[in-house]
Amino acid sequence: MPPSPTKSPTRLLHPPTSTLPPSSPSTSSSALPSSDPASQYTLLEKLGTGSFGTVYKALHIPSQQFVAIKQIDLEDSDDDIGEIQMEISLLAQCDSEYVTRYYGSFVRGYKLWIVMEYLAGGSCLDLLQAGPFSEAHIAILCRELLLGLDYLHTEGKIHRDIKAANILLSSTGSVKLADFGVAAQLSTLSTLRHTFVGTPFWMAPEVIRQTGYDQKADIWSLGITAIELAKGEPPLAEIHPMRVLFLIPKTSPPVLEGEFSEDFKDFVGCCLRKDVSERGTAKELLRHRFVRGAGKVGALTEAIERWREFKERNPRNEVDDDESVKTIGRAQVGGLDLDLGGPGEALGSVRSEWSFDTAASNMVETFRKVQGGESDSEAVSTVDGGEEEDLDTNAAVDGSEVEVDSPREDVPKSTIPKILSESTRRTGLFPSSLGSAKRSSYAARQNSKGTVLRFADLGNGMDTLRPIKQVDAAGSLRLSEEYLGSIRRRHALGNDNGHPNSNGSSGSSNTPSPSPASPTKSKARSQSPTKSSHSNSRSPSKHRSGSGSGSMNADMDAERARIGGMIISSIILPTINALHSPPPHPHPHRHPDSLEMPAQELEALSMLSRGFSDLRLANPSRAYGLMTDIMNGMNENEEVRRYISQQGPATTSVPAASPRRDLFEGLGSKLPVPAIITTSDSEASHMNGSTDRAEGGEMKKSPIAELLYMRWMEGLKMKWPGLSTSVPTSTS
Amino acid sequence: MNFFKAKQRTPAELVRGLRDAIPRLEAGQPGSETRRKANEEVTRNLGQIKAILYGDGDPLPELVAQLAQETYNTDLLHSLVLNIHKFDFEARKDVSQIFNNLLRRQIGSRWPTVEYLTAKHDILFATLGGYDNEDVALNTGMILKEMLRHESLCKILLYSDKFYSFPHYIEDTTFGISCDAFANFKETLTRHKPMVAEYLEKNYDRFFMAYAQLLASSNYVTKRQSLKLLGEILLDRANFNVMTRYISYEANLKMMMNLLRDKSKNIQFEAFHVFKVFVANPNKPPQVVAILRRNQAKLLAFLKDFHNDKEDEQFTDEKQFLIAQIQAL
Repeated sequence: MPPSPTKSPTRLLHPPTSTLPPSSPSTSSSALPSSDPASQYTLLEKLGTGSFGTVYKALHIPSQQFVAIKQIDLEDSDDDIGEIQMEISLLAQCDSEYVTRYYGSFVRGYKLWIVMEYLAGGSCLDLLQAGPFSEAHIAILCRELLLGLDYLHTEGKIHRDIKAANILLSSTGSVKLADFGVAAQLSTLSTLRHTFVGTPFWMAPEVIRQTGYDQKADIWSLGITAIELAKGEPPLAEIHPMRVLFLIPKTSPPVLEGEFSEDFKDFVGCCLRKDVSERGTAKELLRHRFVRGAGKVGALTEAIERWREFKERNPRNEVDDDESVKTIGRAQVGGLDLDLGGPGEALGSVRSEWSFDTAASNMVETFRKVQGGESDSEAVSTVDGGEEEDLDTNAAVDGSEVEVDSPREDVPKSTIPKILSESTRRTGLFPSSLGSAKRSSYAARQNSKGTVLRFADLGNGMDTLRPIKQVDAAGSLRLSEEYLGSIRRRHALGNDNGHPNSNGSSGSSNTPSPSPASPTKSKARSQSPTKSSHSNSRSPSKHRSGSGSGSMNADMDAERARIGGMIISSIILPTINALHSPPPHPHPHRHPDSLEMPAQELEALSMLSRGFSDLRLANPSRAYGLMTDIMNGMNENEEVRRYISQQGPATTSVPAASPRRDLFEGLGSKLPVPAIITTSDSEASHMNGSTDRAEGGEMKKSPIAELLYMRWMEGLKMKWPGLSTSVPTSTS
Repeated sequence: MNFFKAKQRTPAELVRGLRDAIPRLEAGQPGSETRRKANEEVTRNLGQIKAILYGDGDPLPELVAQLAQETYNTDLLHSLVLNIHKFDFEARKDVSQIFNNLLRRQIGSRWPTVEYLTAKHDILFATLGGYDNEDVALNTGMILKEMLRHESLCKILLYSDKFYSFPHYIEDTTFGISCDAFANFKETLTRHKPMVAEYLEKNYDRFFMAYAQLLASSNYVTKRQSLKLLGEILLDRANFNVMTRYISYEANLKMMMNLLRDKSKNIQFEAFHVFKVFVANPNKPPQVVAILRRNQAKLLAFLKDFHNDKEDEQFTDEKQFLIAQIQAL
């Protein structure tokens, strides 16, 4: 790789390609120049990747002021360009010290440049690289954010993407909201929004449910952000975003745990109320003790300083993390000799011109007159030729920044973050049969009949989603189940890669080869329940039947499989289901926050369900063996056995109101599926005769446990057919 | 803002105060005390008017009625739109909000503000003229958008020569304003379909001549957006007659075929959606058939490789249909 010349700023020497109008003389405040806007800026370094664009630090040459320039590749998406303009329109209507300033925007080739205030302190996500924020700093940040949100919310605006990455600090510690890429304007104060948008881990339950939401959705995201600032990553960060979207509405709100003050924990709790009416407004939360006692913003310079020191101490990290520097460097060097495909190459194999020339009918002549010569084929092709040249020049200019990284004519110039997710997919980190490699098209996302979320729509869950008008909830849920147990990435803060999802690392997706860090970041485990059950060879029934130990064994195997399947479908799955769908809430109008279980717990149970379902399909007799072995194990464990024998009959009087009943209680309880128990019971005794006395009365008290125990002995009999009479003694 | 603590002034007083202050915005030297005070006065009055209209979510109908009447009687709205560029940042936003609140005002089936504006074309045109000034273009654009929701106002704009200043506003402004102007251009052409269809039939030549300029724009955004809008207009059922006329001209076909080969994938794709209509037309005029036939082999090769990475089923079907049609020529 060529040495990175980032220290010497790139001058954009190329002349303007699009005819940009002189800006109106009255725009004194605007940084927009009159002829070629881009030539007035020197791009210095890539700061990161915002929603749908790459942000650079740049120098405005005439004023010698630093600015931030967000470049959005308009050709990269089929989005309605008018919607991209929303960001500008919203920013331009803001005048607040808590919101990044907007200076102007212009189009150059396929790229939209948005010129904004440059903030030297970096984003909160950058600063998190040096470790979590102190509580005192978080209090200041939260107060400033609330002031910013209060401004926006009063103006009828919703940011919809509050997260550490979108909170910027100035060098003096003032805090500003940035990246209005998916913000919305409410036309009147009472209307609700339904668009599914944001960043998965930070999304409020009502946004995911699409039942209509307002400014309070930002407050939820603020609560998640507060946890992110304190812990280094948002809650559930280890879970696949596809699952997270399912879990957030279904489970109790995340809680801030650890060595934090009660005020802080309560503040987070006030933000993270699932019932929107119980969630505070920005104004109300500004009166919360946690932020009332917060210090001055100047104190945040400590965090900025700490980050600087961290970066100095970890230069390797910086290289790893801050791909941007490398990217720019390479692009600059490459830009000099690498030309991006000539005209027409984007079209693939067809290069010849259309043949119009011999068509000179009267109609054409007439029409030419009407159109004032516009339609002349020569003229058209000349115009086109000129245009192609224009765009080519553009490409070359763009190339001198970053575009050279993807010199593939046939691939649309995609940038972050889709490539990351797509290339991760291709390398097989996630189940490859799922959905599509591509994110939903603009048309699909506007479909009022509903869009099934695709993997590529979510990316790594840390990047902002493109707005989706109506999510097909059922379809998406089905798809989300496919991701059950998938881990988004292995670890977060504290690994030697610094912050796992810093802008730098997603920026690295811009390079042709995937970032070296990315393959280790996530690891698919969705197949693991099945796989592990295959590799587990403790009960080798299948192999034995395969090796032809006689039709007798085969029959017994089939019976075992049938019973194994029954255990799963009639006992285990209903029991687990009963656990995560608690009985109807006595106050249907109130949100049953308190009755919902935490996400991790629900996810674990779902994985368990999924694992058993898979096992039933893969090898039900293994399930049989597994359950009997478990029963055996429980039985052999003195303490467990004694406890169960005491609790068994008393399960109904155990404080069952808690939804956190554990599995044993569930097993011991008669509640979930009484009818099935009796059926199975009679079946079992029918098959078994009365060989179940060995355990004495202990297990008898719990019908399910008893049943399973009988099954276990049945299993033993099948394993050692010769020993059938001696089985009872072998356990006593 | 604590104007509720101040003695509540009547709508008439507020409107008068505002109207009196506006001329003083340019009295005396720039930056003079007079101007500064006038600006404060404007901002304060607008704030109070807005408070009456929005009234913390619960406006008093009687006050609103008085206020509305007062604005009609004094032509306040016209004055606001003409002078908005002289106002403070927040005051400009208030103008949009006040204007749009009044525009949404409905009494039974009547829209008093719309009726008022229908009789005062100048206000509509002055609002459109806001695009001349980059500083206020987004504020006036918002008002224009609200106006265009109403067919009577939309029709006035469409039938006036002023409508043809849209291409200029779209081409010659910076991105944010250009997009806003385009959005309102599109609104004018798509919201009230039968009215627009009638207009397009009557003014076919003038309209499509102007439109061809947009399609030939050297600005990628303009070209892409106008091509997409063209597809929407032509494929709308209401515009059937316009569509059949459009696809009978071979010049239009040539333009689309050239755009199919544009460097931008998005422009290619939008061009496809217009091009397909020429091919699908069961009554293709001979000169259109001639062009297609002359390019038959090239078109077939071209379409075979055209956007094969798209997962859009409908697109794939349409492409196959076109290939079959061209083969059968």
